[in-house]
Amino acid sequence: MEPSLHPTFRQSMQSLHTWAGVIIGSVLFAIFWMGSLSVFDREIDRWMMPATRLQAPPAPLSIDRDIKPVITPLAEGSTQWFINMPTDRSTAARVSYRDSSGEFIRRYFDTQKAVLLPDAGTHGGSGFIFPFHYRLHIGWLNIGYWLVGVAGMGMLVMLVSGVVMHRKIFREFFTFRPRKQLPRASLDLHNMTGVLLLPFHFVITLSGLIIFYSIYFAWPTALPYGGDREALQSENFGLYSRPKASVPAPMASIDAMVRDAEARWLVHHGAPVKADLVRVNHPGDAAAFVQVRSVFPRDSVTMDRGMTVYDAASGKLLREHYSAPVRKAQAFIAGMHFIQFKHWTLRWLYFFAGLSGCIMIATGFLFWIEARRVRHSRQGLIGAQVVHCLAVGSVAGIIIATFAFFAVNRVLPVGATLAGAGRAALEMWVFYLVWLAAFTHAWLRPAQAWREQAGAIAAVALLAVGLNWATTGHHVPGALAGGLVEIAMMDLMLVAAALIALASARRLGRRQRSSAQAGADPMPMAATARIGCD
Amino acid sequence: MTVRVAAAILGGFALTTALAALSAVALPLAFGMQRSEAALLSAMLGFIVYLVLLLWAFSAPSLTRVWTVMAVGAAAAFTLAKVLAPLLYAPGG
Repeated sequence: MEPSLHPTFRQSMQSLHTWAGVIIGSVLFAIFWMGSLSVFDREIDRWMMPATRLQAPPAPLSIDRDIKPVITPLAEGSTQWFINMPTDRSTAARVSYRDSSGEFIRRYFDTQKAVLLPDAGTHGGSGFIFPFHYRLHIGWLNIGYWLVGVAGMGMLVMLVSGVVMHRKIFREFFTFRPRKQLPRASLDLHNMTGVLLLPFHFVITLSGLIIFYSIYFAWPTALPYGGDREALQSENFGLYSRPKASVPAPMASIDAMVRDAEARWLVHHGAPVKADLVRVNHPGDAAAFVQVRSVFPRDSVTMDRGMTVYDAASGKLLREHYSAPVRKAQAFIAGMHFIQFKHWTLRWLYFFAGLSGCIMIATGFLFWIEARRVRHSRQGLIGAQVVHCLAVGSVAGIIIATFAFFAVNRVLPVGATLAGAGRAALEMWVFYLVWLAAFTHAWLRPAQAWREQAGAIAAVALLAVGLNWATTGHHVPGALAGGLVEIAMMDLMLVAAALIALASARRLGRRQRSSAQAGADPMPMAATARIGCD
Repeated sequence: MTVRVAAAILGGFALTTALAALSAVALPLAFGMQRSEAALLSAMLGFIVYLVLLLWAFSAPSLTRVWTVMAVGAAAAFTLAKVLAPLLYAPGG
């Protein structure tokens, strides 16, 4: 396995691909799975927060009239307010702040009824699924970001080495033999999803890494400023900051600031740009300032098309920033990854492309395990058992845990608490406990693990759909009729997942039965050497 | 094997970081590029540079050569970057 034993470049790439895949496959699957779901994180929010399933288009929002009187008492003592304007995907405005204990609180505001909605009691898609995608919920010392970074670079290495190791890459576009033995079928599917979507996999991975350049290249990028990160952010993003004056003062009209910002952006860009985020720093203080931003324009791939800062007390302009050329390129690349612009066809394509990336990773695992299964059981290597447990838990297990996360959201009442943890925290606990149970199950019942967990995926998915119907009265035809397309789609995707899981369970069960009868190695050693594994 | 993995991942990262730092400092000095622009460009290219280094480190026949390039390259780029950087943020000296 020592690469120096493989004299040719192709052979060393083959060895690298095989072993790197085993090591980072688990993390990569989690990233691609949560990433695919994150394409529809706002829609998942609507599903998990029924109170925000607002059908009517948003009434025009007035921050001064509607938001300010509500957030002032709510966010008492907070140093920053965030106001996300309503969009076609998030028809409720979002109001966020950091409370006295440092926790980030998100509340939704119904613009039709002009009322703050009660605490949703869940992190939902945008608060759990999406952050899991880029930092795995490991905040300590940014280790989550670094693990994702390692996995991302590993993915790029896998894509290149995967291409290099193939002799007849174009033939693989058209080769899928599902009725063949499982290792052959897995490999075919792995090659097909890899080759057909190679540009997507490469661009989505590289663009994801580029988003977090300031973490991965923190030191080099700050070096021209002598390590002054604030100076770097100020030049790149137009970030503005000034300390509190500790003297109270009233605020001028924020709506006027938003209108002024949009007028300036119209002049600069030659086309209308809508504000989507308003950030108030040191609210109520004499040194308070307001950032008005267009972070995710609905009609542009390039992010961050507007950044204007105003003095809160007087409404005077403090800073008007537009992206420089390289920054614009980075904002375009990042925008390609975030896919917050309005294009439903592309959005669905990204979703299915991401899922095909999941299939690519999962079949890679499956192939590695299956091609070596008999050899490993003869040798009794504990390493092989570990890889098998890891593969089942990190593929089937995380899917079961995610659907359990959805289901428990429908079961627990909003105000539920247990041992001091609110419902939002309890939902996450269920996710992690179910995931752990999946790994345990895979370790204890290795022969049946894939099949039984595929069955569990189907069961929990259908349970979630049923619970949604039972607790909100919305089902697919009813939701569609009521204009709640996102709810109908979520239910439909869950049902589709259940059907695919059931079909996979049957296929995997057939493999076990046939090889138990034959008692033979499903892939003779000579064949494995030929198709390129160790 | 572990040695090669360490050389590739850690050595490669050290060399990439050093090259990115040198580039972020040299581009403004040589071409008058805005510092934030140079930093961003160097970081974005850095991911590609790291990818190439990883592939090379895992396939190069001579592990000694890999270590030498990583160590000497990183040391040289790092030193040069540290020497040139003050020209950008401490105009007096």
